[in-house]
Amino acid sequence: MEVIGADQDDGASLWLERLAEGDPSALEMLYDKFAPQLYGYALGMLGRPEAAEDGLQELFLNLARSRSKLGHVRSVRAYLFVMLRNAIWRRLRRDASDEFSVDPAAIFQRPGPAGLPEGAAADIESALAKLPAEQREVILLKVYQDMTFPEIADVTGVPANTATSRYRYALDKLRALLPPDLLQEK
Amino acid sequence: MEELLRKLKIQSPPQGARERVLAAARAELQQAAEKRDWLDRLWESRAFWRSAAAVVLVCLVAIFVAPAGATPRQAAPVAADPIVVAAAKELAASLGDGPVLERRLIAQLSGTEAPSGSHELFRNDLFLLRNIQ
Repeated sequence: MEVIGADQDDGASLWLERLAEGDPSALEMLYDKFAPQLYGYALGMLGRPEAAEDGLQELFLNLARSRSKLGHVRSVRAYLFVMLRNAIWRRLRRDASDEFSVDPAAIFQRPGPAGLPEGAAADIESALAKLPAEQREVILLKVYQDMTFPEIADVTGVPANTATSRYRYALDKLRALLPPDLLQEK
Repeated sequence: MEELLRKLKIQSPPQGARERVLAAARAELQQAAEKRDWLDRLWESRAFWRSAAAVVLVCLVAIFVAPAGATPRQAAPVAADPIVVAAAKELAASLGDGPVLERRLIAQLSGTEAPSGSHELFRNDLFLLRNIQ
């Protein structure tokens, strides 16, 4: 099994060791390095900034609580994503009765990049919101976190083939949901 | 399709999120450390170990000493020999000790109770009674 991001940790495992010893500055180091990616994943999954921040906070609270077990983590990035995923899915299951909704202008930065029509970000947010959570998750991890399929498989706990097919289905659905003129943009 | 998606950038955490998240995590860390300190102090304290030793000692005393000092079990009533009953009654009456001595004599002679080592008079009574028979 491929260990996700093991070469990207850049000494983050040392911060986990320091956190395991009770050093609070290690929390800051971990936040500064990983929070933007983790927040992006949580925001894409939950669709609302306050929910994403709650997910991030739950992750850091769990880190503080389980600090004595942190010495054995092989890849910090993978560990953090798995912990955050657990928090996100707990929330998604708890709120299963609620319709998944994306706050306007919640996920993507505004204004969008030059060359894209105005409203493209909103169209893509709306299309992402209509995907099943498992497919939306693979899009977020592959496109916005640059993970490979084996890495996505590690985080999501499914075989790499399943992750690949979820990605294909998700792209097909997005193509069907987005306005044709947007798809012709280069 | 993937190229189109990649053109967009996901938002960063909002202003103030860092402080809120880290403050909560630091408080949790502090709480965990205090709980651990309390357990460590307890573990290292002499009072804890003295109390534990005292409890162990009391348990050992209860296990090994209590049976030795325990009250002998009451003898189960048995159908005594009428001769023994009559002799015990007579002897008890002559000594003026009444029904208590009579019951003990019957139990002794029937073999259901060990003789009491501290009661000299009772031992003499028993000796006499055995010789009468």
